[in-house]
Amino acid sequence: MLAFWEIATAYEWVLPALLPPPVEVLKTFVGLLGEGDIYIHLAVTLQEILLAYLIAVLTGTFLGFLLGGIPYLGDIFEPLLVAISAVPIVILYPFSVLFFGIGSGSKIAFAALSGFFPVVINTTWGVRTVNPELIKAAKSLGARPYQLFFKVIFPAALPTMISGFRIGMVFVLLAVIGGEFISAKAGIGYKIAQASDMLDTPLLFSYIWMVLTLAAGINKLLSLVERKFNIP
Amino acid sequence: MSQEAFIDLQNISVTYLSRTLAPVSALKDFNLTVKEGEFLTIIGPSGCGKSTLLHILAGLQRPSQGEVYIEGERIETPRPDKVAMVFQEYTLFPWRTVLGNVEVGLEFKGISKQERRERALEKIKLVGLQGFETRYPHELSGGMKQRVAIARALTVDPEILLMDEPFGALDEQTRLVLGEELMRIWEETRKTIIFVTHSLSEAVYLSDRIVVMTARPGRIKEVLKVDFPHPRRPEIMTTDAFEDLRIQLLRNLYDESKKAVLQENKA
Ligand SMILES: Nc1ncnc2c1ncn2[C@@H]1O[C@H](COP(=O)(O)OP(=O)(O)OP(=O)(O)O)[C@@H](O)[C@H]1O
Ligand SMILES: [Mg+2]
Repeated sequence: MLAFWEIATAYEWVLPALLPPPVEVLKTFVGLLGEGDIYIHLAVTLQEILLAYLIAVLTGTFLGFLLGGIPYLGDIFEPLLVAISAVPIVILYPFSVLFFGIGSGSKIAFAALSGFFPVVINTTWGVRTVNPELIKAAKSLGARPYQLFFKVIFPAALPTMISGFRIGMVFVLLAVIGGEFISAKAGIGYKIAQASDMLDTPLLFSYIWMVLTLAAGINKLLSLVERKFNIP
Repeated sequence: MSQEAFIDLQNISVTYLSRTLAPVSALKDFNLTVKEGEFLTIIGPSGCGKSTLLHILAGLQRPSQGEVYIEGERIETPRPDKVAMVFQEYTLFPWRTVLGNVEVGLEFKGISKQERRERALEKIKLVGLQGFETRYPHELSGGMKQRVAIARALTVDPEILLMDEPFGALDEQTRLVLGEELMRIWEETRKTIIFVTHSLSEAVYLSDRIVVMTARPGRIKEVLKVDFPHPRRPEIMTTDAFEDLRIQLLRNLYDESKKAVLQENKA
């Protein structure tokens, strides 16, 4: 694909201003890595992702266990959550900026909310669909309530929860970069918006590469975690 | 009651209520006593309340009416020191290895790792699964899974073992082999076993006593005594005495099974 890209630009099948040759992007990319500035923006973005994800996973898991464990609550709130999660949450971003300012706060709040939905929905679902026969078996073997929770319900729900965690990470990443892109003072999304405003396509592509690398790295990390927990 | 029975089921009735459907009477005035060390088989048409009965004995479910006593003690909650169960479905914990599954009951009890391991390995050996300790359930055949389930139930060292169609999902040959192994385990341990099956020969081969149940609501239709001496080996299945008992059982069961099928068609 890179070769095709190189040829397409070399023969100017597309305007170099729209699609710069990969060699040039690479040059810009390497130049970028030499500057100290980019690391500050990278750090901002990473910090936002991390905090938002942490909030999403902790609150989503906690509420998910509550809704999953109490059928009455689950019956009421599960369909509600699914319905809300179908709304494009980006419409809430302006409010986030109003409440938390143009800095990191608004990205974290917005991304945490985006990531919260898949986590809470999958956790609720995972807990509600634990095979009741497994619970009976554990009870008949003398499991106390806390053992039932930690040694049966939690591991049984974990695979479903983990897929929620993964989707949640994708949503958080999207929300942070998107939020920075729309309005921010720092971060990779903000740099993308700048590069795009200046029509500096090599720079734009360099940032896009960076985001792709970041996403791939995080994804790899999560799949390692997943493999560790999803034994069978 | 002149003499205290080991297991005493007194006037057990179970009615399942549902918000949308008519109430289902699964058991009605069911009375049964079981002697210590007895191998008792319950056989009856589908849906006559056999699983319900075992769940009540395991303390997993309370009857709508009646009481269960084991050694004079009323059973209301699970009592792993007295009763352990092998379930109709595969109920191994998929995230635990064979060893992890077998020792889980001791883990719940807070027994030390060392002792747990020892006692679990002993039962794994008893069911013939040495060498498979680190496998996960999805890596085992159906027959092996049920052996693990039997080992898991035996590891808590219960006085009574409840087995709900443990070999129901297995092919005929595997079933025969596991039946023979169960016989050996019972002859070795002399636990009280209450066993549910749909297989006539399995019932005759394994049991001291066979309880035939009626179609729903389940009651006792007939009790057959089986007197073949121990140790019992599958060869007895070819004897005339075995065949006579099997046919007697079939006669008892046939009408009830017909009723049960009609019931199902109506529902
Ligand atoms: N939780 C429940 N709610 C409503 N009805 C139930 C419930 N559990 C069992 N039943 C009904 O009660 C009757 C007895 O069920 P049970 O599972 O004890 O039968 P069984 O003899 O074990 O049947 P099988 O041979 O098919 O395993 C059945 O008609 C079943 O549909
Ligand atoms: Mg049953």
